[in-house]
Amino acid sequence: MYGFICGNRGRLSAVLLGLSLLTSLAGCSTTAGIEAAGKTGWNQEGERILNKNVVINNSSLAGEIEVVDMKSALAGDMMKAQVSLRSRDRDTINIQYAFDWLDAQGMAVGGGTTVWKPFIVYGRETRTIQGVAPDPRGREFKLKIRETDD
Amino acid sequence: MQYLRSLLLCLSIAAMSLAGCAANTVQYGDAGSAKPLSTEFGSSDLQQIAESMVDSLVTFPPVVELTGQRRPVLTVDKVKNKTMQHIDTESVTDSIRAKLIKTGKFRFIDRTTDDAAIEEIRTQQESGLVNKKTAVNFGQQIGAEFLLTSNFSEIRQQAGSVTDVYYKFTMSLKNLKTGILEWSDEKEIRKVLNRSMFGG
Repeated sequence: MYGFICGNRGRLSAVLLGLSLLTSLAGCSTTAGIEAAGKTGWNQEGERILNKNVVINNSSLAGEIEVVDMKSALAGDMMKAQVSLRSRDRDTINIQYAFDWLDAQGMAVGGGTTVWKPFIVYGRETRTIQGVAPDPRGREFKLKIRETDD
Repeated sequence: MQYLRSLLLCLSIAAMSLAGCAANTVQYGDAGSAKPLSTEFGSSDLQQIAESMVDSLVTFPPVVELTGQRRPVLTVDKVKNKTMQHIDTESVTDSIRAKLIKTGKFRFIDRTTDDAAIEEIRTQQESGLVNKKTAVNFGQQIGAEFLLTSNFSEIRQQAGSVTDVYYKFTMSLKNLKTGILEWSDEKEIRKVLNRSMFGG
């Protein structure tokens, strides 16, 4: 066994190098890591409610950041969204977020560019992200959170 | 001799392939990317400022009340750029104005296109080409009720290999009739550069 390892030391180190490269590349990924979606609805009493849904695409990011609360309110006829995030990490986490807005029929509103914003969460801290619909048609939001692309 | 010839061939193929690798490449980037390249004012900073100002203005309770019944007419003042950088501040206010118009809550007057408007009205009135019933008269435009004013400042600090730049964009909505500031907010951005000992 020892002979096998020693004889293949070059190959082994190449594999290890490849694995570490893959890991580092995965760390730089800019995929939407966590998606927190909220959709306006009405209950049987006719009160406005928010149907919530969280999708996790990046388990390592979800291990560091947790979506603890989602709220929405109306400012006049403009929908406001608030998502609370809690850090599970002891270190400072640098993330980016962006809001997508949809109307009552699920059609995108606002259009144009999805603006990513930097966001810092300190160790074990809970912070809130707020967004406002681009126009009064917005009735559903999707907050996308990802790791910084550096 | 045979060996030398094949070595030369290999080297020339390697050189050609390397030359191919060195060619410049162009690709489309994400216009909404938040990746900072330097501490200078960048596109992401502009987008963050515009979105922050618009979100704050349209959800401020007195403004919500004001825009609930009617669409007030606004005009935008030039940004007072107190930073040490040459920034196209009109681009910032253009983004803010475009977003505010898209909310459907405000109407705007654009004084930068007045020369073209005057020329067009003069043509309609004096050229004899336009039917008098449809020609636009001078003195019919609506005056702005509010003025959007802005200040942009920067504090730059340097210690050793660390450069710290703090930007502050302040915007206010001034009632032109009463002179009262109906709304004001600011957006702060901090960018820190750690210059690597081994980097350029």
